Amino acid sequence: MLTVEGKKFDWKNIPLNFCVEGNAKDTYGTARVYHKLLQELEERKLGKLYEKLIAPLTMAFRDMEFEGLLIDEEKLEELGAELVDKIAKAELALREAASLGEDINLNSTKDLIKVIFSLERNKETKKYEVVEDFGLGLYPVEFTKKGAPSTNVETLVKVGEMVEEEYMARGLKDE
Amino acid sequence: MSNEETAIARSVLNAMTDDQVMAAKRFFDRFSEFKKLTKLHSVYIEGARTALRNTGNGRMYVNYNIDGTVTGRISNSGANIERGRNGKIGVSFHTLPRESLDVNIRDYVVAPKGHDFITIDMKAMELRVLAHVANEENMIHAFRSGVDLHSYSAGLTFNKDPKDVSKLERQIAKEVSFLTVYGGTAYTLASKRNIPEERAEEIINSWMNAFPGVGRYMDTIQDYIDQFKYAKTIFGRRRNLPNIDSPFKKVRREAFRQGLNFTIQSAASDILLCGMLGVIKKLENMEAKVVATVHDSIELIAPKGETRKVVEIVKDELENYHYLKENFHINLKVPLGVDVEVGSSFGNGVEYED
Repeated sequence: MLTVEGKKFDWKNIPLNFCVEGNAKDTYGTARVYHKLLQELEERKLGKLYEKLIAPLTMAFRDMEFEGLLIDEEKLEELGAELVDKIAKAELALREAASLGEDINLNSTKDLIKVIFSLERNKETKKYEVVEDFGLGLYPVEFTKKGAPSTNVETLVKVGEMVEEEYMARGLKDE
Repeated sequence: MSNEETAIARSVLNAMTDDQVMAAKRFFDRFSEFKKLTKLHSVYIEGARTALRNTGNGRMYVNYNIDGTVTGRISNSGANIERGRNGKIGVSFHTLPRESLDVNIRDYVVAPKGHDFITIDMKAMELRVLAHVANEENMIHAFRSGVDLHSYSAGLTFNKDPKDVSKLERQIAKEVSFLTVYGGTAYTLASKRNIPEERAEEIINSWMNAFPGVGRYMDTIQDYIDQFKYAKTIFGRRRNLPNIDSPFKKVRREAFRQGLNFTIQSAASDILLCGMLGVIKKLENMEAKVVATVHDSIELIAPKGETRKVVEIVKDELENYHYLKENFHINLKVPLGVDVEVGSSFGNGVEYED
């Protein structure tokens, strides 16, 4: 496809004879690449896979992509409300279990770091310091480039797994 | 995360009191549930709302990527009309979860009035492909006689009559079969089942003895990859595996695992896709159509009056894989089976009986 540097490309700004030439070249190039790739496919004995599977699949998926999927909006809202309700309950259970006050925002990275790792960033030194008598005091297995304890999904899953391992290893039982 | 950091984290945990560990456990149990729920909401509820707002026709759209994975499996993603989240006109159908945390998200994808939503699932596709490519006689026998494969393999593994196999034993046998195919170790099984590693090793060995063809197949694949530096499926697809020559054993083993898995997963996916093409061709003159495919399943929409006929056609095409036989001259040593569910939505289908 034609590209024009700098400006946003728009066919309507291109004179017709340029369009014709450009499209002809485009088609010519595609045709040459097609024959070259077809030959390569044959050499690798993948011609049949292309002809009988890949090519017809492209058409099949084009149709599906065009058709789309019908959504029941009422059902969507019903499920949404159900989830909101569950989220509220889960949040409450979490706050109770971890004795978290209303001031803790579970969607805030800063608060999560404080709760899980008992760390807080000192604004002057710009370093993380331990918050005494607060939070779980776990060690963050991963740090961001800027040196902050990571709270991405993988890290939290890993930390959670390690807690689980320790819990099992000690043979603890929660009521 | 580095080993050193993990070691520090472990020693911090070791130094904690029982109460502290228990508090941390309580937190993570609830936190992961909370996170999963908020993610479900933002991706599938808010995502679908954005999509509907953008399309304005009550539909959402999915992009299929036929070259999005190394195995040749199909991946898909919600379509976009412009870059960024606000331009979404769909959510990923691929990850649209089954009943998750008691919320049946798939329920909002529906058939139009007077139509049925039909979901066809290929049964134990990958193990059937394994039985075929490995020419594993016991496994082929199990599939041919229609017994429950995992009870059967549990019987062989634990040296019992399949009738007397416990639920747990069946589950373990099932896990071992997937471990073998996808390259897990005794350690994986031991930690998952909370049993000693030696016991896990014993179980795996016993399973491998029950299906000797699998071990032979693994050796064949190892030799093949060592020689050619790639793995190849029955369809001729290749996956290059230059890491098979790595000086590191771990890297070499991973390359082997990828190659072994490729010969099974890729072929399984191609067999399903052939089936889908066969189905589409046979439905050409009917109103019913294939509307999606995800994992090992095909989704269709049919006018209620056509459903019986459609199910018959689809079952015949998929179980007898006509398209595959006609175009690739592949005759499988095992039968293929499908589960058919019919409902008014993607999520509420029930087993179809005619």
